[in-house]
Amino acid sequence: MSQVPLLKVDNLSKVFVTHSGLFRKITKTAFHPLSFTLERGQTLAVMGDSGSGKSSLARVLAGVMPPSQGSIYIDGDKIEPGDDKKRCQLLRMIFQDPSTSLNPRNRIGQILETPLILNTNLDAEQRETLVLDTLRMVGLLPDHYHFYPQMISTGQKQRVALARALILSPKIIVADEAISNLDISVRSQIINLLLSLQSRLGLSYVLVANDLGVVRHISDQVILMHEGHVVEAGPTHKVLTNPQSEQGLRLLQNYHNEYRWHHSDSKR
Amino acid sequence: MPLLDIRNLTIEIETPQGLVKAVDKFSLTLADGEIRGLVGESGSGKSLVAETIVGIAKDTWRVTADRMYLDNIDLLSLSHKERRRIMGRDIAMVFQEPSSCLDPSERIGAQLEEAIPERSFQGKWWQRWRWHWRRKQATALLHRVGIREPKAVMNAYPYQLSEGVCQKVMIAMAVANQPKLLVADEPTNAMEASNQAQILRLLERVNKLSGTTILLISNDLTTFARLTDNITVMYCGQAVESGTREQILTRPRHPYTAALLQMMPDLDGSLPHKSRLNILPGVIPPLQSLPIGCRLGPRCPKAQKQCVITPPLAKIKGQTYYCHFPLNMPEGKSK
Amino acid sequence: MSGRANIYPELHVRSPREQAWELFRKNTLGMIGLWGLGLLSLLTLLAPWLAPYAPYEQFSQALLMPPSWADEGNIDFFLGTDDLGRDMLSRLVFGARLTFGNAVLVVLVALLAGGCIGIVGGMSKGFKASILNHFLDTLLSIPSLLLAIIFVAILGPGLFNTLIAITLALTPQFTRAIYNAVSDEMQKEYITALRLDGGTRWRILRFGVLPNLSDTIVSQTTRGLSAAILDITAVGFLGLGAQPPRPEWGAMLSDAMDLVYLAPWTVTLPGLAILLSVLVVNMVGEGLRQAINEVMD
Repeated sequence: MSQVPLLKVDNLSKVFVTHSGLFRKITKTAFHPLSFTLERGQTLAVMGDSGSGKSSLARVLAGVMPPSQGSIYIDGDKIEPGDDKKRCQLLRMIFQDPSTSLNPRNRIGQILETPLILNTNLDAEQRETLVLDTLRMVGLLPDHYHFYPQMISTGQKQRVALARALILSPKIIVADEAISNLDISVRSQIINLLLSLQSRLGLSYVLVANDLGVVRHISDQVILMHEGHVVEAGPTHKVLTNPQSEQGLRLLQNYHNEYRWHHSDSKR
Repeated sequence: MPLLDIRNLTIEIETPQGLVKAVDKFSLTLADGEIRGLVGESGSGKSLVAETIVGIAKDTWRVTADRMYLDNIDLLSLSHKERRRIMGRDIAMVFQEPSSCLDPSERIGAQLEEAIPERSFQGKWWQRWRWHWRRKQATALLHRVGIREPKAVMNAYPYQLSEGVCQKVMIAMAVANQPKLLVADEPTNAMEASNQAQILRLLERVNKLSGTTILLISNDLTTFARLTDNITVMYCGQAVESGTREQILTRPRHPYTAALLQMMPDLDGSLPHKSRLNILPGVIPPLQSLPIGCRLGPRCPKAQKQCVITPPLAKIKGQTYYCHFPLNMPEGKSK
Repeated sequence: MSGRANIYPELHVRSPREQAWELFRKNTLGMIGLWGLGLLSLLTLLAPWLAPYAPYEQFSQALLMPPSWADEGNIDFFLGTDDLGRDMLSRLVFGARLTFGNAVLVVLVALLAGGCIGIVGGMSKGFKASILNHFLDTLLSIPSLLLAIIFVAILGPGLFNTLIAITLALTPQFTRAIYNAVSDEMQKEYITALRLDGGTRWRILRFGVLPNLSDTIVSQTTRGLSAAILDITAVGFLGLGAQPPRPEWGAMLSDAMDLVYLAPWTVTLPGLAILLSVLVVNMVGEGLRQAINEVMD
């Protein structure tokens, strides 16, 4: 393996500037400068309360908005903000709500084909084969090619969103709470899909997630954020068994509240 | 005498494709003072049941039931007006997204005071016209639901408060009437983990202190299981299994209940890291095209030929379920 | 609709447009409106071939003849004649061209011009967008009829001048509606996704934004069309637009005002024509909007 980490984030921060009135500026820091690295085939989970800046971090990583400061390197290559062509070959994003992230006027085939038209030189036939292969890979049928997004269930939509992310065979996928809003049975299906894709394609994930159980199960590294600061970072099992920060402790306590039922209870 | 007794509730919805049975022969009996969990995924019809109980069914629904009694009032035979009176007096509901249920242009205090009924006034008759008895009671209510600075919250607008506090205010409004039944439809859905536990604790306190019966609706069984006394599990408009908490959690008979309990990974690491989770294959069927026989049939890992016939209601020690091949059966009893 | 498609994948998957059309066909009012609109367009296009006489032809033997169903009526002049002996039916048919046809033209020009400005404004951010926004607010505060009258006062009365004035008055409305719709659309996540795919601005516009504007365009066009019809006739009625011998409905109406007791049909019929054309346009627009909304939800 090369020495360069797959994803290296250096001193990245985001400050929102809003103009109020003519001259006054109001600045609001989404997250303060932070750095981390992510290796191939690994999963990084970003956790935190609402307003902790975790969503902003995911969006800056994916290029939805430019960072205020700092830089992102993928495979040692610096990714300039605004260079979407280069970024989307390497890093792709899945949005929180699949019902708003798929254009209701386009067939699923068209939705998946668009990135190929924009970023590859494949002809129409090759594109169709690739789209069908990708559909199969995420557990959908070739018949879904002609469907419109509003005809399928939320879980299936999220699979389409995943297919759109996968179709350019990126190395990293950023998911902004992409699994927390799904039904349980669908959620576990998507988790399995993510895990099997990771082992098959060697993908790395940056997941913004909330459910501790899920985080423990699928992630290798955790970043815990609070009000724009990273309060804790490290290997998942360490952070979740022995948190050092106040926020980490509170997270664990709240998870282990008296009303939760644990699997181990049934074996007692 | 049960507080709420529903037998064979069926809700049909008019859609462009014709009538669709969204809830099919749903029965529920709530004893006075219990906390009942109603669990199901989207499309299971759990919210429809809740809305029917509180009487906010839409015009496009066709609601039929063999029996629907609150105490000894037949809810189905009431006129719209009487129904609303019962609703205001005996039943209260807490919704999913509290911040969208509060009026954004009015202060919390004013909204809360409006929810306090005239008859909850206690004091001398000449004090009644003084306006501030409501204010006092509102403050007391907020205090009761665990808000530390009731004064500040009373003067705040909903957008200034977090989801958790908004939900507490909603609960305060709901219990202002001292209702007999509180229906909570996924009260912790939009919340951070830290607030979830607080809301659940609050609901427990409401139940223990005022003896309010609570119907708690959620899609994730594991997060609140220990709060409940009894649990009913719904799938595709049917109550597939119903029983006491212990029965459902430790000896689920229906494969769907078992799957719900096992599907999500737990923090205690009982599953190897990054291993495959237990899943139910397939998707939740849309209401227009439900499978015949057992509705879980096509997704069930234990399905057999017999499952194309609708399973009859079976009952063991008060635990009811619809399944031909139940799990966790005592020796010698299984077919 | 989704369920069936899941189970029978060989079933033809209908596009939103087909679904909306199917829904619209079930809407009786909308369909009546559509037939009415079709008839109106037919009259507009084929007036010289459909009208029994020329609009200015005078029959001195048949002055103020009532419609054919009255006792003194004559089937040769189906809707009667006016005080100069001109056939009402022919004048109304030719009037469709002047009133309805011109309104359609005005709206098309306003839609194109307003739409372009709106799209450019909606796609841009910051300073440019805010200038456009404030400028439009100012323009919108002037009622379109007033603007038309001011124009006529400067340029002198005449149909062409009023048409220019009405176009100018309608354009900001179109710009505003489309600007709002585009900037709403630009906030959607699928547009962000398209941008992250490396989509150019043109591509985002063509495949992301434009298909989702149909709802706005339909409702704004019908609203604009009925406003344009009313404005053209109103200006005509005031004597500022089309000048009397021309069979513009508003001008016909004002021309016949003196005859209202003597020959009520000369007033009622143009009035009815205006009413029906506005009604028909709105019925179609409302039906289409409902159908599109229902499909999208």
